Amino acid sequence: MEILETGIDTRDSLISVRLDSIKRIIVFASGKGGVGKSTLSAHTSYILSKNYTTGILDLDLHGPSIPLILGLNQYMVKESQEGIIPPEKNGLKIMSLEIFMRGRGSPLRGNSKYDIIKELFSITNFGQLDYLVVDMPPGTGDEFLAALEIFGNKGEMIFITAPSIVSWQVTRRAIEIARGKIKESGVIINMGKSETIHEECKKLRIKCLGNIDYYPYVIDGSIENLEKTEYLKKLNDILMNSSIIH
Amino acid sequence: MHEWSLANGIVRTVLQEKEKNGASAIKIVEISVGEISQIDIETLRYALENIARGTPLENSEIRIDMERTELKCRTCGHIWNFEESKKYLEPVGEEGDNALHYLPESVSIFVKCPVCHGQDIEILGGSGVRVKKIIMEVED
Ligand SMILES: Nc1ncnc2c1ncn2[C@@H]1O[C@H](COP(=O)(O)OP(=O)(O)O)[C@@H](O)[C@H]1O
Ligand SMILES: [Mg+2]
Ligand SMILES: [Zn+2]
Repeated sequence: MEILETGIDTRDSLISVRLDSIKRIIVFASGKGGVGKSTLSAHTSYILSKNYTTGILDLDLHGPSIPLILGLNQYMVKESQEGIIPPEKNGLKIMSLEIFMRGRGSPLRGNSKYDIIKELFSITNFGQLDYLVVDMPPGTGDEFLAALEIFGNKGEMIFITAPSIVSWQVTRRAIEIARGKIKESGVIINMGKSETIHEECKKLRIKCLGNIDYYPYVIDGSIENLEKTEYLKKLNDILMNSSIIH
Repeated sequence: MHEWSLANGIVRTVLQEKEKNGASAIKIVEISVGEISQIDIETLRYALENIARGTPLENSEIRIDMERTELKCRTCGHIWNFEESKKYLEPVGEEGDNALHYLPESVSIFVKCPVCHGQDIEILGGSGVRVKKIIMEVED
């Protein structure tokens, strides 16, 4: 007897190989834009990379900012038989669509975005990693759903909100959509404090990991200049006190 | 070299399908490669033969087809072939080619409609690498 199988996506089998070689995947999401997902995810990967083999995957396809925040100054990818080797900054492995699009705009619709995310992750040979940090764009559309699909069984999601109720009301929806689809690390309130959001987290039964104040120097601080600042110490404390670093 | 990691994905996928179906042998594998990804078919074939060695795919017939890439502009409706874009438009420069090799779906970042210069572009056919068909032998 003969069997025919038709139209199979070969990326899925590569994705499972990639997932197998990564110990932990921390996805920074929010639903809301401008709350510090990219800033905190980039700096988290920087902190982790001092003691662990770490990579960061930028899934913001329209506004990729990870290479810029981390001061990546060479975008060369090397090829290997197991996929492309991402550029590094002080040992931190960085993959972003920006490495290919270099300042261009990205007029992409749903299906293409889903495909690009799968392609980007499946072709990248991060090697063995202790941590992969993932930076999400705002919104709970294509990229968010793709991340839940790809990282749901293995990853954990950390939600960033600004201290305003407006920001929280958007973040809350993202938490509710993700619930049951991926492990929850908790919520970080960024750029200020909010007792109300602390209370809201309790109601929603999600851990509030802490808050980070607004530090004007974060905006134009290169990562090297942030070393030894209160901001980076605070982020480090939150990671140490959460289940992320142990 | 990208051909090697694609070949890896193909071999893994086919072997998984063999397991899933409890097949005893794989007779034919048909693969289609979208022109836009500028995959070198000979390199892909060589990689496949090497990776398949010592696996149940070793003696299977492997057919690889290059599929022309058809693009459609959603703004004005124009349909054209990717090869044309290369002739008429500058945006697919070296960076573009390189990106499309790895990420064929990113075409609208690099290619413009030859008629209205719009960038809301859809790939109608001939994108990445697909295992089109696997013919396996299953004992009754
Ligand atoms: N704790 C903070 N203090 C001061 N500025 C911050 C802080 N966190 C983020 N920012 C700034 O806020 C802006 C938006 O942050 P970004 O990480 O791009 O947000 P998102 O990725 O959620 O859209 C950036 O200019 C960033 O430098
Ligand atoms: Mg961002
Ligand atoms: Zn057009």
